[in-house]
Amino acid sequence: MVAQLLSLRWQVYLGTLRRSVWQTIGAVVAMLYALSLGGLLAVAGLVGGLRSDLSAEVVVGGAILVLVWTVGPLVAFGLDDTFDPRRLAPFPLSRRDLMVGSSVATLLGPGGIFTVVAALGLVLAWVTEPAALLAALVGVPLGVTTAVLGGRATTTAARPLVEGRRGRDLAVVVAVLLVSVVAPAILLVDSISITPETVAGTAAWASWTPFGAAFALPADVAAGAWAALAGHLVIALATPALLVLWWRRSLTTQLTRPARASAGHGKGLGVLGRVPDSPVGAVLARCLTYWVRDPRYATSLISVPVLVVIVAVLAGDGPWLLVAGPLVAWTCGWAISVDIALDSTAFWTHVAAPMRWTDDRWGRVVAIGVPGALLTLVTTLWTLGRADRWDMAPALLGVGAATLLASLGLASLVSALVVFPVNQPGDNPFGAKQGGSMGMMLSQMLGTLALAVVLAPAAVLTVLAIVRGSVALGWAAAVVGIALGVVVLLVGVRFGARRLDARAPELLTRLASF
Amino acid sequence: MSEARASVVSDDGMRPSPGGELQMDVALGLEGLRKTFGEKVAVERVDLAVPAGSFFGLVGPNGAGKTTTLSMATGLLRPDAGRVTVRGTDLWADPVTAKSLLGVLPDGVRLFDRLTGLQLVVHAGMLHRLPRTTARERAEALLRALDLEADANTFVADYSAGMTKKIALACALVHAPRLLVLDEPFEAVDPVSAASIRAILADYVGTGGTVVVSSHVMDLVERMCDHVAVLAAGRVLAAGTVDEVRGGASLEDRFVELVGGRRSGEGLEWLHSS
Repeated sequence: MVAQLLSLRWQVYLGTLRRSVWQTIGAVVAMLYALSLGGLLAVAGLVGGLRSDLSAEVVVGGAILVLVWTVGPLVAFGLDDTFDPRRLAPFPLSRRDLMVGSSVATLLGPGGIFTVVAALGLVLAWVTEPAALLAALVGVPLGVTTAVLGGRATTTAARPLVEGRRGRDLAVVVAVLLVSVVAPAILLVDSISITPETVAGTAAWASWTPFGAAFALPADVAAGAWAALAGHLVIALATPALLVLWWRRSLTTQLTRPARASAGHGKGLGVLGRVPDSPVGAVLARCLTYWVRDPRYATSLISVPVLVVIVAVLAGDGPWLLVAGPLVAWTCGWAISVDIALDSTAFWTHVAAPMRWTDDRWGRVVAIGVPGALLTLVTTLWTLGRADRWDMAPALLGVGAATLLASLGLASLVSALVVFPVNQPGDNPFGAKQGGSMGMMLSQMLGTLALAVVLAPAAVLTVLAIVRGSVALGWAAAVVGIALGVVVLLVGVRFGARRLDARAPELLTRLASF
Repeated sequence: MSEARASVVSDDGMRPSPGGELQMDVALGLEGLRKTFGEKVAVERVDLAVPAGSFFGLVGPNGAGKTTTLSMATGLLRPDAGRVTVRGTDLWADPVTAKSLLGVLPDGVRLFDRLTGLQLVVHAGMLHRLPRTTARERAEALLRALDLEADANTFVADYSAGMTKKIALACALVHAPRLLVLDEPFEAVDPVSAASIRAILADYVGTGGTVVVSSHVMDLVERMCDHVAVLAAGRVLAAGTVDEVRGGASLEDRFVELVGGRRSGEGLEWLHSS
């Protein structure tokens, strides 16, 4: 049964590869990247181990590995739905099969291969001390097991949480969590440069956490610290055992109670009753409802608070803080570049209606444009206040508006040109959609590049204004920026609509194929 | 085989007379429709003329190309070749005019299901340029008629399959189209609701509307429709009034005869429980 699950994973993998060349290239690159990065770390472990004592580095490295595996899938990498327990619920699979199968399958992905190869380095670091090497051969695999189990357990436990109505709330929670994890981490890296002392200090406490305990075993053996060894061993063994229990329990609940969370009730027409009485209004109301009710939209805006915090942490009160406003504007505006993909096949409603496609474009633009403008405004005012650069208010507000307008325009064009596989409505909003990610990244990059090009004049003026403290240049930046933004928006909407006039059924066919 | 088909089609009385003038008003005209997906030919060639005011059934086995044909007929899928006219307007040349005459219920696609039932129907109406108040009145009437009143404020995502079909039908009806194209409208719908839907559709046809439904339930088509076309392997095997097509036999027998390929249960003995 385990072998069948592995072969299922492999088939899904091959299936996605066959769908496009980009997929294949992306997968091969990812695999090579994983192998070479892991290999590099392995060699570093060996070489470092030959030269000096790496006990602290091993603990810290291992702890980071486990931490990333445990928390990472929730916030960054997305859940792999191949082993969604509820999909497999109808088959006669035991929980054990499911657990072993999906653990091993996870290890065979790029992340798993990187981990295994890199973990080799954690073992090789002890090559000069035979007794410790033996302990490493026990401890490191134990640590890797903990990492994999941690990842599977958290994703399984999180799955019911992120679905349905509560998903939205959880998205917010995760955003806050992410911010609170990322921010101190950056602060740490920023304020204290990494020295052997800090690593040793971190290792000292990390070795007593579930994340690092297993990796401390060889150091204990090498040092002859038998009491510490016993303590670490208890933690290192108890952690995976508890993870297995936790995972089992969440699996049991999901396998036996496959009901879907109800989304609750709405009232009357909702926003639909308050928008302009026209097709644009209908599109606008529908989009606004989705921004609130569909967790997939909320997660696409998670990066807004994250961006602000990261910028704030990195820049302090310096002038760099001022980029936060335009960054927020860009995030909001660009969010509709996947709007049609997010509609999925429900997009047929627009195709079947006797619509002018400019109506479709404007409805979507306004739905995020207005909240985006507010967010940009608030962020910009906050950064101006914190950096105490009120003289730059015209420049920054102007460039913020310009960025929002231009990215809305570009996104309106891009979303009409291409659609990528995204999570389907009702799917896990944090789920990783197999396929399309390479093309999506490419379009994101091109979009950013295009934005940079069209906004270059305004950006240059703004930077000059800030550096020289010239209010006049600031006004110039605002005027030039807004003019450019308006032009890009109009052009983007116009050509996006024209493209949909010509190719909307083809987009629908693509959407149906995902 | 192609000769047999030609004779059936020419008997259906829907072709232009030799003189060239149309014998009847055509609500939906399909001419030489063709669609391939890569190597696979989904619709080889479909010519159909749906008379205005008819209740037209499109029947065919699984994979016959019914959904593909109806998608092309409603502007959702671009044909590789051929022409679609909706009451004389070329759909693919003038989609806005043609689509305003059309009400569509496609099969196997999503709805904007984070809206409530009421919101979804009003949204559909507004997309079709109905004033909001009209859209709302009609939506409420439709929800009542389709027995969805109690779930008007429930999100469509929480609807059952049958309820979803019904709400999609309401969306197709809300702008009072001249022509309704419904792909498998009765699938998963309970008998009571099916009866009310049939009544609504019959009433609609009685007052001059035209309905095209696809189905693989022959009984239903035989009872409900006045015209029928049999589609298999992407071709029209027979078309005409129900009586013409079934030629004295039951529609189901005639269908199996036309389509062929009935398999016996041989090789499935292991399925017998004793």
